[in-house]
Amino acid sequence: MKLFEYQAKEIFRKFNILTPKEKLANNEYEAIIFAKEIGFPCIFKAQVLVGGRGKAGGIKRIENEEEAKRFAKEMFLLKIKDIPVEKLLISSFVDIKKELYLSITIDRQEKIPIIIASKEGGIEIEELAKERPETILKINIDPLLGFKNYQGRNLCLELFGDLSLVNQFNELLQKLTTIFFLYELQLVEINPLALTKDNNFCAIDAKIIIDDNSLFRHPEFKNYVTQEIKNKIEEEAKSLGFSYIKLEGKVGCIVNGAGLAMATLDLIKKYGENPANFLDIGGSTNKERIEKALKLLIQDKDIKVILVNIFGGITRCDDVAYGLLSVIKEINIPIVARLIGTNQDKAYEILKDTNIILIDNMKEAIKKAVEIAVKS
Amino acid sequence: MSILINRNTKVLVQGITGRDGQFHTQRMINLGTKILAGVTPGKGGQKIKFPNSEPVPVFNSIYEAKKYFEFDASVVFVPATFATDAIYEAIDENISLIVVITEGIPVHDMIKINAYLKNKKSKLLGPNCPGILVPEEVKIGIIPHEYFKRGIIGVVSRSGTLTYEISYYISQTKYGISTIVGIGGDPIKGMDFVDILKLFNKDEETKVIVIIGEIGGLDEEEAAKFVKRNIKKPVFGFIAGKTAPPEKRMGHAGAIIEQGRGTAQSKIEAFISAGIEVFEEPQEIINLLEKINL
Repeated sequence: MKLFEYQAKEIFRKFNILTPKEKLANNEYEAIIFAKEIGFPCIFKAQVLVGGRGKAGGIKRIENEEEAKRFAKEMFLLKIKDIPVEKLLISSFVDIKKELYLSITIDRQEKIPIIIASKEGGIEIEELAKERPETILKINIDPLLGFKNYQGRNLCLELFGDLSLVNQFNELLQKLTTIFFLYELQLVEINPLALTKDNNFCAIDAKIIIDDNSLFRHPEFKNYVTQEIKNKIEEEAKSLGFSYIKLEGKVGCIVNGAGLAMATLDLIKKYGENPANFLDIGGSTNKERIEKALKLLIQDKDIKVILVNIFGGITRCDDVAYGLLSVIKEINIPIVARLIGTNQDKAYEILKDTNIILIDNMKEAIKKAVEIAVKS
Repeated sequence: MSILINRNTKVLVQGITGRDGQFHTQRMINLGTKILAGVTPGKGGQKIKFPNSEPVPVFNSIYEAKKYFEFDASVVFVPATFATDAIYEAIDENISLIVVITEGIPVHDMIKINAYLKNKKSKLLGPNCPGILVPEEVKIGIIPHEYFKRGIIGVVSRSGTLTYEISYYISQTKYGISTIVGIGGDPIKGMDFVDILKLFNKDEETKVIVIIGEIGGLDEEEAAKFVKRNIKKPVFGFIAGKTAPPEKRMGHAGAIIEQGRGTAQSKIEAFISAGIEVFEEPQEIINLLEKINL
């Protein structure tokens, strides 16, 4: 789960990490009032969970009340990568001496947390990694012992060339590692991290991603609003416990298992159509879940054909067949079903008198679904 | 010989009294796996009856179970909220091989478990994995064994059903399968591709290796490097997720293209440069295998 900038900064402030003075505006009128409260110049920052916010006009420096009025109006009408701006963070202007990059994340290969830092803050780390990888510094954190002060000292030397800032810098790293471990994060990032004119570290921006698997231990995030779910179908899928992603094509897919689902989408594309969705109904499923999956998919009006691809292991093909059978009357688009594995014979028996197109070879089933979609 | 397990492997089931634990214990027994005991804290003292088998005793702890039995391996069906503790218990009781089926274990738990494992005797497979199958002999986990034939091809994969799909086609060739190992779909796991490739490389029964990868992380790239340096046996590779959009988790927690890394393209290129023959459709493996001369 990704947190909004303002939510991440609330956590920072709880741990006494310095941030600009900020207020969150829910409409243009609040934005104007808060801008006057904070004083000019100030910064308006659109609260959206997509990258490239600055380039899309989501961050503006506001010099006076007139500009505040104009941009408050404009920015609340803005859409950034299709996402409407619903909140503006009004942030005080910070006098910056130096901009840095700082984050803690997990290195998948080494299986440990790492601190990533760079003298070059303000640009996205992906770009930096491509253009000037030599400026990126990494420190391994022992998962059991945590961060050690000497590591911060060494990093401080590399970043600033001297140790005059070492105490504050280590204090900041200590706080960030505490946050990282306490909330079980995938990422905590400050970019840019400002070294202010009076030699303090200030988090100008903030990004936090929490590991979804650990959310059961963090009820404090339960009611956090997020924007990751973009449409109604995705929302419903999530509440049903399906792993669903909306895509742009015409072939609706119901598959058991993530790997098989991905391979199915790849083949649809290879044979000339685009998949309408990713939908993994999970390992052990039943009749009701198949019904729900089908009812979910038919809400997507782009879908011209539904492809069901099941390799029954724990999933029983007859359960899937009964699920298909019970909703078939409500569905007026063609269904191609490929059911193989546990109780496959029973499944074919159950579906033999329906107009579901049964094909027991994966490749042929996909080709058939693509053919129907192309013709539609 | 198979890798990791054989028909003499003595197995403990952690979480045996749960719905999945019990169901799959039955299926493991059906194939011939030696299930000696189960552990569920608070449910110790009972015996679970399985058709065609001795009743399996349930203990409150591994410590208690070890008073009566020795174990070579354990399989964990414990729900995610308690699975981490179950894994630590198995490590501390020196179980050599721990296979974790459970999905949804927090990533921070997995990095700590991996750090803790460094000086221990245990090897960890998973989490979020289907386990190990030696066709027609033995299995630990949930792979539907009925569909696969014994033979000479080693299969290692990050996926479940996709592995079954491809292994099903392999089983239609004259060669069959030596062992299937599912390493799991999580970003941080125990054994990686390379750990399993080392075992397949040494295993005399295994003459050919099939690697089934997917988007996310750099596991396939590491596997490719290892194959290039060390493996003389023919290796085939499949990558799922060519059409996956970036920054979206494709079902598996680990199947995500992050910051432009972990794309199918990068993995396919790594495979090809290591001399691994890449196939685009599960079924194609049949033709590829028919072409090789062993």
